[in-house]
Amino acid sequence: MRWCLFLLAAMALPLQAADQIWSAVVLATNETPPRTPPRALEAFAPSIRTIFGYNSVYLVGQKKRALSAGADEWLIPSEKLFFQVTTLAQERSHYLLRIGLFREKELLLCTEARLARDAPLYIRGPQWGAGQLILLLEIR
Amino acid sequence: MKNFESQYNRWLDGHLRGAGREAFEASLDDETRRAADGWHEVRAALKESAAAIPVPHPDFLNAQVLRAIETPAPARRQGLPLGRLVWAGALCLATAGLLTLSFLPRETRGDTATTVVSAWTPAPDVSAGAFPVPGGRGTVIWLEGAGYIPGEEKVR
Repeated sequence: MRWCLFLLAAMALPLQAADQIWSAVVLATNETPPRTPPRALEAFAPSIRTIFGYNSVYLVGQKKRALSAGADEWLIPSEKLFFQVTTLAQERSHYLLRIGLFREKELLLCTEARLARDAPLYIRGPQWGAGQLILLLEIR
Repeated sequence: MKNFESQYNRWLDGHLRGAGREAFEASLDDETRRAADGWHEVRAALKESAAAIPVPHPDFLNAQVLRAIETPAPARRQGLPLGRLVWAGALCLATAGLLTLSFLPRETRGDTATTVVSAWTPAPDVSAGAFPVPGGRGTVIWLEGAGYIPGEEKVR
């Protein structure tokens, strides 16, 4: 019985106080042969290939911040593209976040999203050179 | 012909008598007469072998037969036995549960997926659309018209 309760509790995956938000700027390109993705992007490379159609990824920059209700955080994974993240609410399995994506001083996108743990948010950003900049946000 | 048959049957059964019998027998040919003799032999054999078997206590037997006839048949049990009723109830409950589960609208992405509540872009030439990652729990915000950064510019 105890084990059942333990398993049910584990399956619910409640958010913890020590949750962090990870952000990354990724350059996606098509290369022959395809480039092996860096370790930090191994889990994302198949989705990027499926969604955006690029077979190679480069990690331009990444940044991680702790999350707490009502807090306002700046995530600056690169000089040109960065995020302002406000935690609007902490729910049982989600964080309700207001996310501003800036390109230098220009606000490109403002969004409210419910982010679950290990369920990334992909943002198709501007193009850079021959590739596509993709921004990633994930609760960890 | 029909008259001959009826007379022949009466003759076989021994009902023809007197002058009628003699006249009918005179009209029969040899073959018919032999067939009639064969029939008489068969009937005699049947009478001998199909005689009633003597019953040792006929009154007792009759009483038993009458008693069996007069005894009313046992009434059929009404309804289902309790055990079957319990099993039938359990089966109905299980079926109802399965049907309910199969018809319930399913939240395919559920609580474990990232979803976009709203997205807007201040620049009029930039637009945003959102869709779930196929087969995953993530979500994509697709910015259209986000511009181009020349390759020689530093992004990092």
